[in-house]
Amino acid sequence: MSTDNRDRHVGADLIRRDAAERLTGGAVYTEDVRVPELLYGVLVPSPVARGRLRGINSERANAVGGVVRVLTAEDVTERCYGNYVKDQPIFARGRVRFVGEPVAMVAATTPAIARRAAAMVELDIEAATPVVDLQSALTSTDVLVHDNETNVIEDVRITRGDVDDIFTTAYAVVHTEIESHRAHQAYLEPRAVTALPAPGGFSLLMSTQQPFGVRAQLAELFDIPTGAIEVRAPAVGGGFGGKLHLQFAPQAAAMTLATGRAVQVVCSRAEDMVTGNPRENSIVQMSSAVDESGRLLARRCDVVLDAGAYAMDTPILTSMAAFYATGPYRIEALDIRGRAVYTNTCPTGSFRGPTGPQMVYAAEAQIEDIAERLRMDPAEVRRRNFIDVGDRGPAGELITLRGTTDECMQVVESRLEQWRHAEMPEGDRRRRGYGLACAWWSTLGTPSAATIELHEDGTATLSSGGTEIGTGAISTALPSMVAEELGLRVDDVVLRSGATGEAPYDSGSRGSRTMFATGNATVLAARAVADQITDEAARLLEVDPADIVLREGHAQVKGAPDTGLPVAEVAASAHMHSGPVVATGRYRAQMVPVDGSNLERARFVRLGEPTFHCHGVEIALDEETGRIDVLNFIAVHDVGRVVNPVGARGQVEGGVVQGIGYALTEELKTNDLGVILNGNFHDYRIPTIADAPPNIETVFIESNPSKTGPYGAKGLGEPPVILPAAAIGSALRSLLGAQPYQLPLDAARVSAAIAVQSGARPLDSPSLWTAPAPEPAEET
Amino acid sequence: MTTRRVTLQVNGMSYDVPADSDTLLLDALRYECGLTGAKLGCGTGDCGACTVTVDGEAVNGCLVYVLECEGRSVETVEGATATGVGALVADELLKADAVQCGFCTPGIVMSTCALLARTEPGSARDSDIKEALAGNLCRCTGYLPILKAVRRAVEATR
Repeated sequence: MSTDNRDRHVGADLIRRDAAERLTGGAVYTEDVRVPELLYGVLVPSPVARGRLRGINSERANAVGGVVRVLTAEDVTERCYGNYVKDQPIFARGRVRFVGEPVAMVAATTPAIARRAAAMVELDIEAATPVVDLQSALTSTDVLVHDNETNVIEDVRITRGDVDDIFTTAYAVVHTEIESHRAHQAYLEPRAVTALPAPGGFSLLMSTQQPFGVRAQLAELFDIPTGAIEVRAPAVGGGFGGKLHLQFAPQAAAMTLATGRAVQVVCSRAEDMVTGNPRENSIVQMSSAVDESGRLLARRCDVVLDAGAYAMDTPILTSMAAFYATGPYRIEALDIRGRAVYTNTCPTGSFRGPTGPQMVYAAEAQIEDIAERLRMDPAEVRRRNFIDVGDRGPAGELITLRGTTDECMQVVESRLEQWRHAEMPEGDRRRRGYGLACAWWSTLGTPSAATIELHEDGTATLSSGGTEIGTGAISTALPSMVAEELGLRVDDVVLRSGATGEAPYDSGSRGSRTMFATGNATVLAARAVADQITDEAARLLEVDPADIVLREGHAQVKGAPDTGLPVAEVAASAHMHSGPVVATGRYRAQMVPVDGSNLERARFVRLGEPTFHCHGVEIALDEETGRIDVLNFIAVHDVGRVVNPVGARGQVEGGVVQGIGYALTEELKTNDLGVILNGNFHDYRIPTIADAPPNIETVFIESNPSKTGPYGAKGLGEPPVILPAAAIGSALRSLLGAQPYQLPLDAARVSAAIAVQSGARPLDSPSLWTAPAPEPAEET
Repeated sequence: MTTRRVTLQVNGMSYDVPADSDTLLLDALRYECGLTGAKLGCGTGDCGACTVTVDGEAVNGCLVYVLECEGRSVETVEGATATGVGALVADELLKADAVQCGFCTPGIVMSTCALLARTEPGSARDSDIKEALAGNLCRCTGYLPILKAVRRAVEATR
């Protein structure tokens, strides 16, 4: 088969195929699902963060008309669930570990009855003092969240070279410390699931990013064969990592198994925000040994992540944090430690670019702290250290792609220069600050499969295990790839996806992998189908298969377009001669060799294929209030070849605004009793249209295509969100001469920093800035 | 609580729905009228996913009682996008790639329709658009394509 029919779909702006139904209200989300005899489930949350659960009295709740069943731990399996550590019960059993933890569930015939009855379930809990603070939980041996010796659940170490020796002899050692906060995914659709009875098991309609992962975990939890469970994702109203987990599927499924009826659980926004899994708060301590020219010789890093009350996927995030401690820089000697710690707080977990924002903030503040110490331009320090092809990454993996962070940074630097020279509006007293941040990220290479069948009418069905969560990668990009490969109109490709019963396995929409991995599986399947159709056409036309091209719905002989046969005819013929035209593509990223680093207890051995990034920002700082506004933003990304430019730009702009929210206004606050103080959209402020910067310029460096991604594409979903906080921190530093140790950079924190710096208020904490301030010389 | 039955005018059709004193317009639309285009995103009037218009004015369906709507004209995204200005707004949002997960989209459409209804054709400026949409949260797009689409819709109605 020839490849000269490419490039008619891939690389063009694509209109989203699922947008029209979303615009007219026709798209069905989980909360829109109505089935006969549906019961509505409402959870009974623990009111305290830590305590002994002595009893539950559901008599009053059961007596409410319309209540069908109340379930507690007594009624369900004792098995626990969790991605890496099976520590989470369906309902709290004997102990409660965070405020909001499900203790029971009421199912009733209307949501209102279920809510009223849930409030009548009486809990007898002997409350105990919780451990809420991360630092206290790290060292505590008397307040233990689980029955372990300590609260530390994960302890990863990456070492390479003689770090101690280099630190002793280096020209300078620079220390940077940061503390980051919790942020909620704040997808617009609260978590929701509907469980339906099915022979031997159940099926779920669920707002999830990974139906196959949910199915696997539920099969294990309920001891039901995997195939007896179907998980289908209807339209998903955003996920951002918050819908990777089981959410309330175990409780809904348990209720369906108990009652034999369909059960729908739709979280209120408040329930959604207090039950998990926000971006973890963390403490990052980072030191580098450098030579006189600013070269990074060795790095020590100690990262501590707050897992909350249950591990969820924090164990693997701990490894990720450790791997990302170098930033996009070549550092020969490493001693990196990552730990995760239980606290009596709502469990944390994946949020788009897990651990990225704080690791980039730390690593880029470290660069600027080094530059300050050496009296160098931070861009020059970066430039002398950027990782490149032939270098080895943190795991000792050989970098096989050109490093383009420098190219990205050059674009940003020239734009910052323009902004610096732009005229200021009359009467605006705010000071302008300019900053940039660099990062690398990687594309998760986890498995995916897709099946394509070409029918006798010349149309094709693509069955992809992938799940559309709003990016368009599944709904829109995949069919265009099939059209591209088979020479079809994109409208002739019918997509079936998002359901475990309709397609082979996929490992979920996450890790910047969705288009990369599902695309690879799809292209593999499409090329196998193309081979089948080409062979059949060659037989019919009595030519060599190498002379057949597929285009415009026809199998044509190269150089003689008039001789072609409609693929419909060829497919029908194949049915009679060789069999149905159908193939499955299966994909898993190959691992490149790792050499030279010691990995202790790491959950994976290396990062995936790297991508390179730089963001630049112009801020306006109101020194009276401490408020920062983002005036201009530029995002430069090397994510290889861009399959759908308009969709890719949407990923960048959306990610940048999420990153700005993380940097400036979003903080999920937990008090000393473990109560979340702002679990609603009024007090937890995500950016509105009035807050979004008026200008976000998106630039793709496409000269460095992936060697393994579909059409040279690499992963894009996460990187845009990981840089804005660091870029804004750098811009703030350009105004204050230092940048705050703690995130977010909200008005209160920034005005406090300004007050200390101007001498209006004494420094009452040793850790106001990322590096110990010159005056007073506090050691941190 | 005494349940009354009231007649709701929605998208030009009459619906006879049960209404307690605390029955929300959003619940009546979603559960009684079968119109699920308006979404329950927060229940506190902060996200705007439940935006519908009542006598042409944008309201949060989660904050308005059914009993307040008796005798008034309610429009939802299903009705608004079937014809005229709403269809135009939907088309501009589609072309600008302003729809990702789509959960906020019906509310964006309705707030835009209300803006266009209350301003002189073609007159709404960026500041008007931002004010009209400041109560509609979107977590996916970063708002720029929405702004662009609404500008074009304003332009097209001139």
